[in-house]
Amino acid sequence: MTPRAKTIADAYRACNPDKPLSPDDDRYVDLSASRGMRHIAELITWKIQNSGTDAQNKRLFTGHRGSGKTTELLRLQRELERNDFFTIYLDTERLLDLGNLNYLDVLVAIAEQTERSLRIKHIPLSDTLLEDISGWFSDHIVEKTQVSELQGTIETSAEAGAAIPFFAKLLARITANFKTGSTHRETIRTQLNRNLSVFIEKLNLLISTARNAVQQKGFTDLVLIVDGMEKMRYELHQDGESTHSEMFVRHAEQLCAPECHIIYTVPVSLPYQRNLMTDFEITVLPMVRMDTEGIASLVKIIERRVDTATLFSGPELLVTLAQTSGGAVRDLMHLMRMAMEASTGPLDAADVRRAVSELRKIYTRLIRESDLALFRQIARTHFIQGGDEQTGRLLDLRLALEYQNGDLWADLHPVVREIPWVKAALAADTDDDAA
Amino acid sequence: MMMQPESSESVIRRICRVLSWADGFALYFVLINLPSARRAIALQVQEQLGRPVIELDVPPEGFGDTTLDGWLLPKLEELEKLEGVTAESPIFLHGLDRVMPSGQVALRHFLQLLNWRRSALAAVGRPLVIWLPRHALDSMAEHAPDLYDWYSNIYEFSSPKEEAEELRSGFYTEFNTDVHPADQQSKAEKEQWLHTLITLLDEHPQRNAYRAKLLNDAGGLHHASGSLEDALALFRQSLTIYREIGDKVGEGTTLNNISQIYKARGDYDTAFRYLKQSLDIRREVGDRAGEGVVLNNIGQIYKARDDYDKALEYLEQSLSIRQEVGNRAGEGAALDNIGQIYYIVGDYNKAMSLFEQALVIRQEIGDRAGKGISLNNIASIHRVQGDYATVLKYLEQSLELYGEMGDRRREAITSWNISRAYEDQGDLAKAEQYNSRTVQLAEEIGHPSLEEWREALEELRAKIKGR
Repeated sequence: MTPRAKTIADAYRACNPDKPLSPDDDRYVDLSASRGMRHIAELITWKIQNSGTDAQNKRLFTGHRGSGKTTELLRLQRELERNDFFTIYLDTERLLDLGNLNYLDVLVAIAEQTERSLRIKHIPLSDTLLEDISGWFSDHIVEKTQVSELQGTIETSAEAGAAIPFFAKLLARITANFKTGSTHRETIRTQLNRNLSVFIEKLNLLISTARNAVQQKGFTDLVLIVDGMEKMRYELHQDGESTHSEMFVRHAEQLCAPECHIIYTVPVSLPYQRNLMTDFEITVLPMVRMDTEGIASLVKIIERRVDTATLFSGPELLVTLAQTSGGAVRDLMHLMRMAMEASTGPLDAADVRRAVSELRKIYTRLIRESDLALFRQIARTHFIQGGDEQTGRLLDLRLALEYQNGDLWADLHPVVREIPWVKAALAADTDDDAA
Repeated sequence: MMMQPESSESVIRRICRVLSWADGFALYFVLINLPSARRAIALQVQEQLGRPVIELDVPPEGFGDTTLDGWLLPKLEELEKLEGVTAESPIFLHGLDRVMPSGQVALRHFLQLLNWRRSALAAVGRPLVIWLPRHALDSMAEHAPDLYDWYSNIYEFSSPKEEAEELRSGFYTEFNTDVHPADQQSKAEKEQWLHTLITLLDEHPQRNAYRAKLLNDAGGLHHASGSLEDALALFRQSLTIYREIGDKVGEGTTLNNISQIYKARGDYDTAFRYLKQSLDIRREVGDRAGEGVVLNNIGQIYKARDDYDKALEYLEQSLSIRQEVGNRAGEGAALDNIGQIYYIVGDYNKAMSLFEQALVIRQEIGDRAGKGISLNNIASIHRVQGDYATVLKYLEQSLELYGEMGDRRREAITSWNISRAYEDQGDLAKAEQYNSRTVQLAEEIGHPSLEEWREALEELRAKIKGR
């Protein structure tokens, strides 16, 4: 078992807002019950296992930034592997340009990573198939000059003994074009778009071949996890459509096209999109609830990292920190780090108070005057109507949080509620109602 | 419970402590607006830390084809070989704000690139302290939220001039006379805000979009407080900068704002010219929300010129754009403005229904200034119908709202309306009292109807004498 930090310096290191826990870390606390849902890894694995022989599970996965999404996704991957699924993990942040992302880029990256993942695990794919697809890409999608450049490089790498097929080289080159925003990018997209149905047919042939290959090796099936798409740029086009709705609403059908189980991580504001296609099942990771059980789980997160008996002057301080986090694990880590900065002995009430006030200052910076109207609405109705850019902003910056209380239930972040001028504005609203 | 403000020395001690606990990558921001103060504090931290720091300046030409990590990581390889540098040495990064582009689109792109390079940035494997002015971090929180959210802490040192007031970015981005954000603030709040803006203007002499926005915001505040001349001067300065840097969105906003000054002065031709310019630009750049505002303002000019058909045509276009973009406050204003046309042409039922729809929206979203307008409008219909008690009930609520908010322009108008209502009822003494208050307010802010209201006051006084 990972030892608990006994000194302030060790505790500081143990509470890191930018590191998700690895799937085997014994400091992991199962927050499912406190979030008001079944364990996400088990739930999704179960759904995939029971989706029937012909149907594939197409899923959008989302949650607030800093709510523990990545930690849960890593556990999902392990859970799937435990149940003999072959998982292919695509990090779009690393592979593609999230500043200028097209659904076609994602589909090409899926093809590239599928071949690569199998090759690394020494599961061979038909050479003929790979040659067919790379031949098609050479003939229809990529400019001739790029192809001949690549053909030159293959021979050298073949000499070096690296058995990297032309398919891999070519698709890696295409995704690199997407990533770096080269002049070829638009040409490639235009060509793919023009030949879309053929492209999807080729992609699906590759995927079905890959599924068959992994099943031959004793795996149940193949699951694609496409991570990082929630970070894609948000921009509103002239026609009122956003980059997000363009990707996930207008091109939902294409994103669903790969014939295998597939999970995309998407922006937290997306499920509010009125016209979101029902092709997808949606899993939202709600915040840890602010009830007794939820607070206890959050306290446990701290207790698994630090020796609280030595480092805290009283257990009530842990509760204050948990309550102030609003259920966002990352904010809990922020608060822990802030509380430790000035303390000389065990953390006392003054340290905790200072941390709370620091977090409040940090959130204050994010608030615009124009947010007040929505704040009032959320504080009054505890419901997020959503759909527009402004609501998306509140969710995205964790100014407003969503919980699963049987029904969806929303509130402002606890520190936001306590900002004096926000508090005054909310109170003024109550008076209006009475008048 | 109020806490004592923390001394700079104490904040420096905290920074040194966390840096001495270093264990791989961690992200810190230090916010100091004055560049010279930023260097001085960085030096103090370095001295107290007692271990070597890798201090880096972003090159003034920016990162070229690469981004922050692409520039930083190779550079780090050289610097790590320097004497005294250890695995625990933190990186102090200066000057990121200087290479942030000034145009909104370019700035967004620059920061978004940083946002998805966060994993790459973590490869520095040591604490990264980024020294910035406050506004730069505000932009970062907005456009690079994933990178920003990784912070372990944000330390703030205030320069002496900018005390309590918080800088909240994007506060006055749009200015539309229907409901100006400043209208929602008390007089004291506006003064404090203006003071902050002026301090920031002093600290940011570079002629960029940020400065133009500050000027525009300051102009908006003056306008909302009724100082039209000051407002116009600031808007013009802002417009010049926006044109220099080719910021079309900013130009469209400022042109609209200038038009409203001329309209308030009664110079409709000039106002119309500015609106037309603004409309062309906003259509050119596809700024739908801005287009809605300008169409509304054009409608208002036609109304002021008694061209009701034209006015309705523009106002209805504005309403549909506002509904389309989900601008609730604007929708309320548009409904109201359309209602006023029906009121003028005598279709009171239609007018009342529109006014009531507007009031509902405004109460829903907590729009106080708009609510005041609604109350005035509903009162005016009751007045035509001769229900004076109801009229006064609505107007007094409205007057109280404007008094609280320090909106002297609307307070003057409401006061005038109350004086009319009392005169209708035959209570000349009360009417005189409110009319004289109206004149006093109008003098203070230079309202275009001042002469009309003065004459009315004289007539009223003569009438009282004559009794």
